[in-house]
Amino acid sequence: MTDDPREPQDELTDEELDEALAAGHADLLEQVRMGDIPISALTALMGATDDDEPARNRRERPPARPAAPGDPDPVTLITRRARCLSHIRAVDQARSSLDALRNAQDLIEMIRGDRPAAREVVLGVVDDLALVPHLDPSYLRELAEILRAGDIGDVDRARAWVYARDFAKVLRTIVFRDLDTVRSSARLFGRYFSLDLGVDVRDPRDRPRRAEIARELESVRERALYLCPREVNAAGADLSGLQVTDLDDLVGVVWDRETRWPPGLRERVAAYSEEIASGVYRVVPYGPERDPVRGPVV
Amino acid sequence: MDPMRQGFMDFFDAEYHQVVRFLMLNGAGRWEAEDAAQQAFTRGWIKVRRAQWPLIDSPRAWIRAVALNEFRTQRRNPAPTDRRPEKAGSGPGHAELTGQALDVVSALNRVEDENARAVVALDLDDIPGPEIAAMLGVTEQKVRDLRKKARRTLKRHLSPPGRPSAETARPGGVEGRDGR
Repeated sequence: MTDDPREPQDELTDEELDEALAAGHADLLEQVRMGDIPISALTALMGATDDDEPARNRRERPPARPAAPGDPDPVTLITRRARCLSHIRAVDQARSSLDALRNAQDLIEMIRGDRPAAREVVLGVVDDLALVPHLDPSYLRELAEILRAGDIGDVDRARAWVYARDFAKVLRTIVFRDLDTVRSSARLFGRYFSLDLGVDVRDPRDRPRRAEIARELESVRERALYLCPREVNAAGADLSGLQVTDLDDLVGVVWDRETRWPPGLRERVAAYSEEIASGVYRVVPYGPERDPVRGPVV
Repeated sequence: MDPMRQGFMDFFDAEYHQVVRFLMLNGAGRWEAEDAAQQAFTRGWIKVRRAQWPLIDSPRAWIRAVALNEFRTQRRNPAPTDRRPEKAGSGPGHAELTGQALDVVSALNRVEDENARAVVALDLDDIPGPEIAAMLGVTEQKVRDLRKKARRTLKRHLSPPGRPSAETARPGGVEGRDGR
């Protein structure tokens, strides 16, 4: 093919060009629709929500120890802790996505391999995938139904394979996003603590390195945990200069009626706190079931 | 469901495939297009969650602008170990396309100026000229110039529908496909 296959006199007219473009445009849409299950993208973007984040276990713990002379001030501690927690959350999300991707990729191999003896394992993997919030459960149910049918034919196997491949595709996108988040979170985290975390989470498409990525994420998480202040006693402290974007960042902070909060935050914190001693409260995830107006703030 | 979220879901249903197509017309391979489209819709979803989605004047132009930017960024800064087949190959990942779709995508690839290519793709999606200008950060006159330039190239490389084109007539142009 030459760069200029047509003589000027053979060029299309404007009308012919519009017609050719319109035909190709419509044909392309048809081909795009044929090859894709849009629900995959939808479930991927739904994965960006945190609405379905499982509630964390609440445990009774003794009140934090009183602040000692020379301790960093509570605002510094809360900020440091928020950065640690945010980084740990990013790592956990990436680890969980990576696990799910591994499951989906294993599933593809198992379906392709058609090993009847491994059917229990296959169904176990499907069950594991069902726990991933990003994946559409109706598709997973359909996949499980196909696989449970026992002696599946070629058409069903092909369908199962397409589903599994599609899940892997969605998860791969999510893993990329999560690893990017870990990288940027690590940059901020490292800058704040003036340290080099050496984060180099590699491309999960490079399958032999998947275990290496998982190990690296684990190591990054351990370092963040090590640096994370375990508890913050802000009883009587002035927190009016505190800047938080998420109440989750305050989980575990102990406070009392003397604690001063930034404007508007006190009521929200109160709604998400439990009384651990008379007049002493601790911020807990998702808060106790009660009317914030009738909470502990007096 | 909250009306804003429902509205976004409807928008997603109506636009997702079109955004993938828009990116493919701009040189993206299938996987790249899907990745970038997903990223763009995820950003849109975040705006919905923050109740900022209604603030966007032209959602159709916005989602394309974000997706195109995402794709171009991915192309310019690929991951060091990016081994997706469509990037390892010789072209932009259009081996799976056939017929008129392949003709148009291949002809658009002949348009060297990426903004000129984008103008044609946006025209095909009925995005108004002023929105195209705003999206590309150029004047409306520049949009007209880019359109003219792209169309001149396309006229030389496309055939009317029904006539075999120089693009698909080449060996391997429709390999392994039904050759619509």
